[in-house]
Amino acid sequence: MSALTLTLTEPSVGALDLSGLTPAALLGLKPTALRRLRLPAGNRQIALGELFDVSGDDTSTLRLVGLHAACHRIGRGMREGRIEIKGRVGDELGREMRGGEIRLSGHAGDGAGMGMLGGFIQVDGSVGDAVGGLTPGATRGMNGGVLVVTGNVGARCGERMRRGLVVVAGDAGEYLGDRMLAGTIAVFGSTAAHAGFGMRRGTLLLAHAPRTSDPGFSDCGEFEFGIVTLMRQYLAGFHPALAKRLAKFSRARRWSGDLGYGGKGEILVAAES
Amino acid sequence: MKINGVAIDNTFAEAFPMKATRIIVTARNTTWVEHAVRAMTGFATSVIACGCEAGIERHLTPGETPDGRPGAAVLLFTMGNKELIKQVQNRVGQCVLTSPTSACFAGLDEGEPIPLGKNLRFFGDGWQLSKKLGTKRYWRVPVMDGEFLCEENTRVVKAIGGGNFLILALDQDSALAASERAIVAMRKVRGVIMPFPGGVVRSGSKVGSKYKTLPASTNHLFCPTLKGAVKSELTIDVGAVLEIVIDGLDAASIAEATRVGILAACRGRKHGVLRISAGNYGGSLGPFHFNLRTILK
Repeated sequence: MSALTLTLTEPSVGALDLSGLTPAALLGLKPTALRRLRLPAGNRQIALGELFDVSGDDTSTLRLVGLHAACHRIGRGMREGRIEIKGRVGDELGREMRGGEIRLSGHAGDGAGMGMLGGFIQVDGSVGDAVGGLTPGATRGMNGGVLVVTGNVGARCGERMRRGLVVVAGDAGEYLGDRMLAGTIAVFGSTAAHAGFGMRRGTLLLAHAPRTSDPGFSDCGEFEFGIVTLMRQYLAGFHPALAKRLAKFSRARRWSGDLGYGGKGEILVAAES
Repeated sequence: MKINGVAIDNTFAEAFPMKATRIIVTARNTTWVEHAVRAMTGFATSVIACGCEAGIERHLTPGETPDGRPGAAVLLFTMGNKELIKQVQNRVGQCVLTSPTSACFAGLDEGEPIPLGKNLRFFGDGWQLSKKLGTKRYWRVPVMDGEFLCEENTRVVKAIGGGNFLILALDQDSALAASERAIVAMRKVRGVIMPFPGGVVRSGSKVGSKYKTLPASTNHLFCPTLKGAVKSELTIDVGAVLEIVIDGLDAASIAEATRVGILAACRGRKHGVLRISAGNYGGSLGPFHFNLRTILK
């Protein structure tokens, strides 16, 4: 058996909602039924066979090839299996994902991992705004799982995040960890203004001190943090290379805040930054 | 059966079911690991009056511990879950939380969870922080030297207590030297502790007493000073008897510890060891029987 591979052959149809394409949803579908599967495309529904070239039969791993920035909601609500994607994708990658694994070689739009509850997303590229953020109407953002971005992330990464781990190898935009409730975000690049604004609990690990000091955070001094070693070991199960780099946070300067919101959150700035 | 001239009695050690947990304690260096675990396993020789039986299973290198620091694995045994919960909370709370630079983790992945840091976190008075990594939750409790890091739960498994063997020797010196050799060998076996001082007990007990309030009393049949007064188990040449008690996570570990311990006790010439026997209470103590000759085959 080889991985089920869907290659987009009709890129001109416009926005595609691919939330129906998860390993669990495709399990047991015969090739004819798979090709007949209706996919929302703008204000229409088009059969999968008219859009994609289908090969392979192992639905536990789904390969998506030739996608573009209007291919949205890949892996929505996914619970198991693996999705591998090459190329750029649109918004809400892994939205409300509960388990399994998504690996994207390319860039993604906004809202990757929004409302995520479990599983693992790795983006070898950059992602837009609201990574690990809120689904519309929700009061909590990401609530579990691990999300790794090897490029940059846009604004409001981890907005109202409740649990889980986000690791960003590159830079992060404004309002990193905006109104965060708990969880952990590590950023190895630079951060823009208002990092940790309104955070109640949770941890931001920053390799470099923010350019502007926020009045909501108070310096507690420099310490060694054993919990970072545990995070490193945990992340090693997902991304060993970035896990090694987490070691730089073992000794860090602790900023407590946001003081306007209880002050139980923290920004740990690597001591060698 | 004889080993190096020492007679092995055709008897069995009688052991009983217990509940156990393994806890890993780490610290900045081995000195402070030792301080923490010695305190934690103090006054824990017998469930008869200590609440639990506890000991250091082995020392751990930084590569073997969750937080990459030197550490030690401690095993605690009780007769039931309720007492184990109490003993873990008291001993970790008073002896590990208080010890500088310490951290504390569960050492078993399977079994029923019981609180480790779950209740101790309240020492943080609201400033405690939690981190959930995968299925495990950790608590960071602010203390005066930084943070006390502690896993939320540890795991309880069914275990066995009271494995034992007796070293019958010419005199105290011979018995002591043989016991020390045995303990050195037995400490290399994983999953067991020898909870008495130095791993050795000189006041072996029998079940019951002539006094109604005592659940256990001296094993008079093995007391050399009573050889002429009772129907003794000792021949006239036996001048001292020492017992090694073994608690283990499973029967195989206890059997292996018994085997290497007896072989080490019988090692060398002119060692003064005359016989090896075991605490056999005729089935009144427990369902686990470790036959010495079977183990040594």
